[in-house]
Amino acid sequence: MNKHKIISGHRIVIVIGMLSLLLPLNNCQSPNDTLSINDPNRLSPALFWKTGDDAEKALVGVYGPLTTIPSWGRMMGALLTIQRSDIVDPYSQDEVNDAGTFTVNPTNGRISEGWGALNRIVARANQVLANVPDIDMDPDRQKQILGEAYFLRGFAHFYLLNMWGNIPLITDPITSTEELNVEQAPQDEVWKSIKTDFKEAQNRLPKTWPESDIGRATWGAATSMLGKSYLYTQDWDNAATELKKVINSNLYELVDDYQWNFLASHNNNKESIFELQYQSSSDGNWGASGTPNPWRGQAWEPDIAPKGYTSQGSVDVNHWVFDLFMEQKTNDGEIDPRAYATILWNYPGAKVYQDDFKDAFQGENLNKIWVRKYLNFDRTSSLTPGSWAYSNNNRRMIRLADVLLMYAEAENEANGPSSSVYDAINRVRERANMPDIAQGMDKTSMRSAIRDERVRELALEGDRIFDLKRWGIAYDRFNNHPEFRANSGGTLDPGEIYLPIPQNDIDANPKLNQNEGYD
Amino acid sequence: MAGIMNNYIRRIIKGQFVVLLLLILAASGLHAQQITVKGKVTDNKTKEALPGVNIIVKGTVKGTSANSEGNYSLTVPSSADSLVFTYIGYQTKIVPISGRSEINVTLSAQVLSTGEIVVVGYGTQKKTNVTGAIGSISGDEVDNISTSDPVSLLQGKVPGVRVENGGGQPGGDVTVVIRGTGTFGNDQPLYVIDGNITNSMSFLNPDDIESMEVLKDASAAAIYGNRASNGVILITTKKGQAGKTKVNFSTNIGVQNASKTYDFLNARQYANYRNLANDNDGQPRAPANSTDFDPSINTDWQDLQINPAPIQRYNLSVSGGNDKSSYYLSGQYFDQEGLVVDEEYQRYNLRANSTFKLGKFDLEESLSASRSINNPNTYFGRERGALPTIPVYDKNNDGGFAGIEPAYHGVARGINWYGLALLNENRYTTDQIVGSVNGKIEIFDGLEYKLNLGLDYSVYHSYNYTPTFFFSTSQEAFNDVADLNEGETRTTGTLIENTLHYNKSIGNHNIDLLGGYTQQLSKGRSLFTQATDFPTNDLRVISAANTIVSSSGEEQDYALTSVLGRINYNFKEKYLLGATIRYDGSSRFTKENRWGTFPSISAGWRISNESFFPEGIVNELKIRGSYGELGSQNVGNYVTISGLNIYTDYYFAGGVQPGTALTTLANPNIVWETTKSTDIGADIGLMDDKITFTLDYFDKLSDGVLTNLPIPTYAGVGSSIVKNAASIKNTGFEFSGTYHYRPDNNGLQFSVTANFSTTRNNVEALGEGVSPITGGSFTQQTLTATRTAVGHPIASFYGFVVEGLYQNQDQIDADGRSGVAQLGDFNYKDLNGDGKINSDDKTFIGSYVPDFRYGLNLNASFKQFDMQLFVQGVQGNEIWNAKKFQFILDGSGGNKITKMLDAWTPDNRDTNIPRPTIIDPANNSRASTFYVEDGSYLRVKSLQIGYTIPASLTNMLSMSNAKIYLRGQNLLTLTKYSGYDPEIGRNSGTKATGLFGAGIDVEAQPHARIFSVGVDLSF
Repeated sequence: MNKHKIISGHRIVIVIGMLSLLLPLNNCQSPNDTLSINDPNRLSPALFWKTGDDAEKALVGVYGPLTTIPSWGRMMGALLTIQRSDIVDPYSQDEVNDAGTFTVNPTNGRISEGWGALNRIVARANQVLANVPDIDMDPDRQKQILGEAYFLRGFAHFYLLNMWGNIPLITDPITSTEELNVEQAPQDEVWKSIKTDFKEAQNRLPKTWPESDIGRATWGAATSMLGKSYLYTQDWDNAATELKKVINSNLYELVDDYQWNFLASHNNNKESIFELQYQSSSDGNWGASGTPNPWRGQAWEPDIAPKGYTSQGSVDVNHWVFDLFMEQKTNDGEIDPRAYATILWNYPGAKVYQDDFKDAFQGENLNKIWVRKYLNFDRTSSLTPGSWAYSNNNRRMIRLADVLLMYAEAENEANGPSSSVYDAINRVRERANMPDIAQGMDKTSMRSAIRDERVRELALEGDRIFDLKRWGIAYDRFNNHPEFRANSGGTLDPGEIYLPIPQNDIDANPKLNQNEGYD
Repeated sequence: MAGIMNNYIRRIIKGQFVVLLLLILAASGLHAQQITVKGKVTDNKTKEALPGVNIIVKGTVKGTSANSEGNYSLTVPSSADSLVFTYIGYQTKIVPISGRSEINVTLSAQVLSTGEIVVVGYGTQKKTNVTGAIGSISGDEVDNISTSDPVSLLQGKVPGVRVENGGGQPGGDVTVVIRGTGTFGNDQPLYVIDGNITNSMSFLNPDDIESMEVLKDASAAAIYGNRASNGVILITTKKGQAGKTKVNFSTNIGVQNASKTYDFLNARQYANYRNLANDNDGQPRAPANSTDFDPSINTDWQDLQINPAPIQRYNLSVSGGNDKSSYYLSGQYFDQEGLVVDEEYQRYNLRANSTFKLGKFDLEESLSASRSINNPNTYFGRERGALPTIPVYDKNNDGGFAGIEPAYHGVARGINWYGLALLNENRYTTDQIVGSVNGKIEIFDGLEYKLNLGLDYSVYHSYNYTPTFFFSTSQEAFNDVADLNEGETRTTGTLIENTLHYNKSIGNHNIDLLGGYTQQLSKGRSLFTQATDFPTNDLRVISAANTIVSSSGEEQDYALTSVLGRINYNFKEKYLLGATIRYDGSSRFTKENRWGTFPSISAGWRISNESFFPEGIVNELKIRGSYGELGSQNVGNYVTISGLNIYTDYYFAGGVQPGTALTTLANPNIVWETTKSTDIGADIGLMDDKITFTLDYFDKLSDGVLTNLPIPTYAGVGSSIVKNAASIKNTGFEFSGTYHYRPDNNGLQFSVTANFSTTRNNVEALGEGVSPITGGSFTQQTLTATRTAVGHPIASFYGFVVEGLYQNQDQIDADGRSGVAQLGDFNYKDLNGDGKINSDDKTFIGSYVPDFRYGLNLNASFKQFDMQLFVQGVQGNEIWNAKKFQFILDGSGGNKITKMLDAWTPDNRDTNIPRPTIIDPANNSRASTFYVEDGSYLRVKSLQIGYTIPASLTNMLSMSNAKIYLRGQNLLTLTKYSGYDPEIGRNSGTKATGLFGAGIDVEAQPHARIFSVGVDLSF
């Protein structure tokens, strides 16, 4: 009996001993502490939005998507330059040229990449606009930061609206899934928001930036975009007023040589009002802003380069553009120098990259018109490997010549062909050594002259499809000219004037309606 | 060679005959009043002599034991009826004497799984008392397949377990799905190896496996709580046995051949096809196909890329022990080269298992160290491959390989993947140490405390070097600056489990209680560097690079804490009851949602133990049922926490400035998925278990399935978010049955095991406002194949229905496609009859889920010979043959198969291959029934014939056993599928990955038909 008791006691000691051994092994923390693991890889939003430095970083994040591959680094750049305009005729290439050949589907990767990049700008601008006002920081800088964010949001919405037509209008940060599924906004509401944003930006932005900050939005950029927005909505008076402000500010001048506007050696010249800053880097990733080390170069060059100089499907230029250039000669009886800077054709001494044009092409390709603008001929070889990343030939989003022609158009529509209309258009022509346009035109013939001048001055810079749309002639242009799509045979349905809303978003949000012409 | 072999075998047989004759002569010389019985005791499988077997005359104490050669001699009274043979680790055998003077006996080893005991979570259980659905197989049963991943040994062996190799790539991922997919996330089971919880068993040496148990239903798996909903696989590795030290050496060496290849167009045929396509499109012909066609070039890229390849395995083990301790040591080298060029998988294994007994203490240790090196060819089968009209080599090019010239060859893109694979160097190395130590102490009779400590330590190293090369100016066909991607991830997982186990029988009441507290932590840190621009292609280390493009690293941590309990009770082993509970906390969820309870109950009735149950043919009849709830925490580690993105820099004129933005939306409200699982089953034994059956019906409803739901990208916070949204149901029926034919003599013995299972998968709900999930993107231009929608299996194939080809303009007009489609394009069915072909005309056109799957094993032995045959198959599933895009429809590049010769032309209208076109204005390549094929197959997975060299001969060489065998694997596959192989698993590249891409054949490599020879020697 006694013995048994002792043994039992012994056993209990063993049990307690074993259990106490376990405690250190099992961690002295309570289970909930053990299980509370923070993300060691990312900064918590709760720790952000405290300082001026945070505000700066958040603002840079808004600029971030502008030059990555899904955006103007490549996809947006290519979409706007070559596709859906009557200037170029893309060759069929699945996915890549579909938007240009009018065979694009809502699942097209380029469409969703461009859409995604622009919307990232909107979302991040919303974050800045919502959070920066509460930060205790240098008030002058705070004001500018908000101005830059307003500009970028307006800028992104401008392109979203003009490319996709029917878009959701989101102006607050989205913080929960409940806020995701919104409806598309009426176009006039989006325009109102765009104009308000540019006005807010106009009131806050400086006229210039120090050298190292060039690339940031300025008063001139905001005012130009505001004027452009009025122009696009046929508010001619306001358009003329705003654009005139830019012209009269004397902040900008036309550069001596037209071609400087498309050469890396003349990045950020005095004609440029808003310019995307490309970074030349030998390495990087094919990613959107938000992925480590994305490429930020002029990567859309392969999309516009002539056949044989690109691994892409390529495009050629419709002959009417060449004909338009050939209609008029310079004061010295020469071909418009803008033609040489815009297109390539088989003229004596013509070069394509470092090669002689006549040797570079065979057969029917010898007789075609190819894109010249923005190609980087200074390369030692043609399209060298790494062309996605190397070129830092900045894309000029707005330049003074465009503002002058937009002003001429607005003023002509508002008040007829006044002398200021002639002054503006002739200023653009003079730089190219072209004679002044004929005096005594009526409003209609002036309209036509301005439209032609826009092609000669601005072809292949991305606004042509917008111009055709706002002039209401897009459908007619394509319908009556099958030769504009001779390389692919694609046709434009009336509804297809806008790009399709990406299928992912249609699937994710049942409230969204697909644009007409896509199903 | 064969002749020599035959002679050798004949001589061995002759030798055996002589031995037998001598034995008979010796026996006939005996005479006595009392009979002397002599004989030899051997292992029934290995034919090895068993020294020390106890032999007693039944009903007496009279007995002897076998000598070191396994021979015995015993004088028995003539009245004696039978002899009883007993031996540790073997099943006792009672043999009637029946007047014989020589009785040779074979004993069968008591294998855990096939014998009385099965391994269950945190313990073992008598098989007859199990109330859950557990599929159990022994290591021996699966020892007839050569494979790089031991989990594929389970294929076709356990009903309800779907195992699929991802094509024939050595070291490729193997998909294991138990009782259907009940999640949109990770649907792979949990692995518990000697008590250590891991995510994979691919590092194991298959020769070390003693048994595998698949816990299929809730009552078996719920003890693993919020990680059990995909099922649990328990692996027990071998331990030493008391007795003489055993040394075993085995090897298997074989050669692999592609079981099937495609018939591609030759250069002339290709050029003709391409010219026709150009003509159809109204485009000029490419010079290389027309004016400049070079008849001297005719490259067969497939033939270059697929070649016979060796496979080999060497295994050495030493084991032994006494009544106080045992040990098992083993080492293995496995090497499988790919059929596909530049592909190899190697694995090195070491294992040390030991057990110690010290009074009331029991200590057990299991330790495995392994290294696997994988060199996959990630370029094989990619889109836009090289053309037959270009040569393989071009000395003038950097790297020495030729490439296409886009304008000259008439394709925008096309890459010499063969050359690129040879130039590119990649290697993925995993070093892993998995071990556990557990100590047990008996506190008092029936109560046992156990502490189990586990470690899972791994270092994964990735290395990928792309040298400079130039094939052509085509995209991806050149590399100006060499680049090196190198990274390492080190993960340490620790496990601490305290359990108390109480087992007591009081009268007819048998009680088994288990309680425990466990904690598992995992910490992983990774480093990754991308460097470029090397002075020469011969320098392949980061330090040699001129540019470090990026250097990154991150940490992945998680923790789990659990309390668990189980009660098993039975009355007279007749009425069986079980209940388990696990209370789990996971760091992956927020504090409010962290804890979950996962209960299960089960009951069984062994009707055959009732007194009213008639004696007769049925010796065992048990019915059982269970219900329980299982969880899944298969989400990323930090998905409930939102974090800022610091990769949003912008380059201004003065340089890059840092940016920060919120780019994703976290959902803090998510909780684990819950699967409610019901199982009804029966275990039946006939004729003293000569025939056994197991039947199960299950119903699994998974709720709150964590879904990566697409969100609109216009919100700028990503394209998806995780949410508990969907509900998925899996139901099915499982059957397995075995027939053993094992007479006592040494003649023919065999066993046949057959299994059969069905699984029906259905998405019951997707969640409010959630659109069907589109997945299975199978081309570079992101055509998608699957749709996951309510009322259909997960990842059902979705697309247009091809009715044939347009043969006249009226058909085109009726579909409203004039100007788009032409004669010879696909005629899609206008399902809603609105006179248009648009996305409303898409429908569900198949599923990767088969109607049923089955397996058949036949093991037979006759004297020295044995044979194993394994047949396995699936029936009633579809495969999305995405290769038809590459090989028929894709105009943007790549060679086509000879089916293209039968393409539609005005003169060849009776065909299902559309007219050749490059620009494809009618979009013939869209998702449609054209891609869908019957995926049923029946495969002779393995046939093995072995010969055990007679003991007389092996003894002379001081061997205890020697066996040689010939094995054929994937000998025959009956299928209608036109691709390389109907077993495609899941894609591991960039297209159609994960479970939404299941059943889509994108880049699956051909399976190997393997002929091998093996030797198994024991000393």
